[in-house]
Amino acid sequence: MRTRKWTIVVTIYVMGGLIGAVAWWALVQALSPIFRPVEGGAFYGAVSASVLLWAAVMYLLHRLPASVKKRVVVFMTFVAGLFYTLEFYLPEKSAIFFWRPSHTNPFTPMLDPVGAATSVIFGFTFFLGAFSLSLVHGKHIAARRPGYYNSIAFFVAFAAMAAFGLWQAYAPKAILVHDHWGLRNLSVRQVYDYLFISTYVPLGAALFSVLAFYMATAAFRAFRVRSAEAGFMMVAAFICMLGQVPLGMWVTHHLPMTGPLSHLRTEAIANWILGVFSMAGLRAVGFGILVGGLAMSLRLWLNLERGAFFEQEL
Amino acid sequence: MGRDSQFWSRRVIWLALAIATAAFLLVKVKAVMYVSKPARDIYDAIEAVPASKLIVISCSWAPGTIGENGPQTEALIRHCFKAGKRFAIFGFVDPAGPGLGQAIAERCQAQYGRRYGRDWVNWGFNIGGIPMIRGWAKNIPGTIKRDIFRKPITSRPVMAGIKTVRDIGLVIEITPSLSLQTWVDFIYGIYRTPIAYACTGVMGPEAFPFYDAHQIVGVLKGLAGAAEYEQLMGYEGDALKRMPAQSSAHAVVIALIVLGNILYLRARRRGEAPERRLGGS
Repeated sequence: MRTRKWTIVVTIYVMGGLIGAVAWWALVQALSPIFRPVEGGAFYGAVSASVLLWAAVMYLLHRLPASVKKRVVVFMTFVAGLFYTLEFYLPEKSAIFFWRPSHTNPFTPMLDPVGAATSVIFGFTFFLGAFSLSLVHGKHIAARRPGYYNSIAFFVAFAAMAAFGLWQAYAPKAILVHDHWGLRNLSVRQVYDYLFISTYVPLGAALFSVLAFYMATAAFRAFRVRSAEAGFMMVAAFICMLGQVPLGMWVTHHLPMTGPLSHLRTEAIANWILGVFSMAGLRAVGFGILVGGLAMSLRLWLNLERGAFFEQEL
Repeated sequence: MGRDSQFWSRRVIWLALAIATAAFLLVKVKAVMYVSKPARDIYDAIEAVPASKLIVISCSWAPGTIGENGPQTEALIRHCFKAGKRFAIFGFVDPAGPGLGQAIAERCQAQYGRRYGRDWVNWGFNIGGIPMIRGWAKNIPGTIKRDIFRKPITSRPVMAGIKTVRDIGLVIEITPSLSLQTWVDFIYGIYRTPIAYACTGVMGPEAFPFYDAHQIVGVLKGLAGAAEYEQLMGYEGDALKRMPAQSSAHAVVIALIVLGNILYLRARRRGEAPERRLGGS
């Protein structure tokens, strides 16, 4: 009974996938004339039409019953995964593509439009991130929660970076202030550079460098030799740390750079630890991660994954 | 340890680290680096790129790691300028990366008599992740389309003859993340295009399995890697200047670990600390 059920499931997947892939291929072939660069008014017309079409599709999807919505998501996930699988595993050129005069993989030319569509979807994730941040900080300000002024700072910084970023991109030679407030010919590009290079970059670097102070405290409080394993780890860490800096290299600088004694130099021992012991462990971890990732991908692709999101009503 | 002593010990540690780092940034000490084989291999790989091919410098880093990835990017860009190699700055992980690479290249180009568009180009940040990289490999102008100044990349003289990944001589991934995996899986794995990796210090060990398997041609590990490269190039940049400060910070951390263990052993002898925990440290 169980075998029969699985046979049916696999048959449905294979048949559905093949029909889906062929349908997709036909759809892209049919729509390929519209995947052409357009300029000026045609461009804005195409953008407006796309937005309207997208709104209509989203409206229709929202009107569908939850069970149908779920099936649509499952089907789209499977077809998208199948497209990349077929494009990747099928040969670039083969006699099996007998209906094509060049005998080339029919999925390869579709990489461009599908890649462009993927980029658009990725673009929406940026929009979603900005929207989500605005929503969270907007609520903080509206409710006057403690520290709400930080949320105001967020909106000011966000608006300034977005405005000057777009402005300098579309009008790089624009002058913001000609001769006012003691400023002469202050360009938009200069303001953007001030915001990005002179403010955002040092702030980012400062934030990351704070880690060094926490690492130093953690080293003092947590790195204890409580066992032989911890002792080995500490010795290895000492050598690797010293092997990366001139201080450690100076300790063994009297040893020759070549010959058998060169292997006793701090940097040589550090590289040996990294290249032999550490690498063996990392390979083992890497294998585990990749096998787990493969299993997870298959579960997502074939809709076998179960959990908070996957069993939730859409 | 009481709450007060914990409070003060933390502040003393932070102060000691700040002094140790700042002192060596203010006092000029000449650092001499031993150039490791993985760093030398990147140098040789750049030298070996033929004139007909382009080098891709993938800036997948953000301002947070400018301390390490900044000097790495500068050293690699300077090498390309010095050796007269055509290159393209590119980004697909962090939107800030190509802009930071652009600032470095613009700062250095005059010294070597190089010009944007003729000797190098910036493809900007491209979203789309792995599908974009796969499309890029088969059709570079079709995927990238425009450079950072929104001009068609085909209009730039440096792009002459560059159509697919077969026209790329080397990809250098500069990053604090493991974005290298994308290049190894989909570019080296399929087309055998040489890949080099410049990463932050903590990511260095993870690169060694790829390097050992010859899937990447070389590795620059953190600030030390950048300093090694500067030494190879024969100039003293930010990395060599910062190495004494990093050495002194490392020395402070080592001293703190030793001190922490002395205090721990003393407390254990007095019966104030646990003997052994399962799982080591």
